[in-house]
Amino acid sequence: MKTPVCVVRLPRGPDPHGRGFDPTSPRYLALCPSSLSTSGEADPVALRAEQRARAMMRERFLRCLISMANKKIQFLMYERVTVAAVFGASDIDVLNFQVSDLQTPIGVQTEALIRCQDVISYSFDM
Amino acid sequence: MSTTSAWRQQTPRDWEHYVNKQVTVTAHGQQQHRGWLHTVDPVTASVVLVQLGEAAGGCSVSVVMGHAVEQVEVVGEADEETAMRLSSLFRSEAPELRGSVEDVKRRREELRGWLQQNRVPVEEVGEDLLVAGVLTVRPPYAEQDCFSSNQMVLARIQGLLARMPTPAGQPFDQPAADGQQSCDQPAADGQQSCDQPAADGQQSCDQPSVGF
Repeated sequence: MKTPVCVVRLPRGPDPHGRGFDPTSPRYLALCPSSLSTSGEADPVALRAEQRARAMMRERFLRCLISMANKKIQFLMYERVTVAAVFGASDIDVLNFQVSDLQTPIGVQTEALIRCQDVISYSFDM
Repeated sequence: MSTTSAWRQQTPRDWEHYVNKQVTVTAHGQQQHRGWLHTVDPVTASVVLVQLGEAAGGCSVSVVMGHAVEQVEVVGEADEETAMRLSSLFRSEAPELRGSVEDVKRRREELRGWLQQNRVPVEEVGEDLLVAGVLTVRPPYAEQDCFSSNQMVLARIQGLLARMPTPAGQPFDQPAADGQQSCDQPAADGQQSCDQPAADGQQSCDQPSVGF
């Protein structure tokens, strides 16, 4: 008789029908503001205008993130900490940045995750 | 975490008013950042500031995270040139597309003429071009500036845009006039190139050549 193979139940993956950005996900609620900024307009015209503004600004921001890829970024963090790293990627809620060659006072980390909550500002040259 | 600041509680319409303005952002610890406000991320309220260098040169970008923004103060307005530079900043365009306001207008006229030449209905709606009633082309009228909900139309029009001849009379991506360049077919006679529609109307790159 063959040995039964134990079945590993993996946690549920992300919803395949969603766009990835889920404001009701526990992760987002735990780490981000409890509600998206919205004027809560009932008027469809104003709502459309707000959506257009939101989409335009988000697209610009995402293009900015794309252009940051593989560039050297200076991160200014709390407690007057400044580090430099090569930007890799950001997650969709902009909660973490994946970076390479993180220069820290105690050495260089080949790969690292930086929590955006710890960052005050970051800058780079185009 | 600290309570949500006044900056983060604003709506996207409020943030939109700051776009393309010169601002001073006060961040945590009284740090001041000044620059042209490129955008505000609606998800995190982070402020993207740009310090422009010389015309068509490099520039430096700083982003202040939304949770660290304390105050944003407007100190100036952008003129048309700066506003155009800001809006096309992170778009990877070919150098010949980045130009002055006149260049962009000229390109719109060229594109409109080219589309009409190809029997595609096009009309002007403000700054944009409305193609066939379903596709919008926004400035600076490059391939990535086409917006449509119809994928077939989008692909066709983008292909058409790629074949648009420059004022010198040569299309961008066709190297020689002898038609020997073909995409992925190792045809010896070179008669079925992807860029030139064949005489028998077969425009697909996937079809193997006859002699294969």
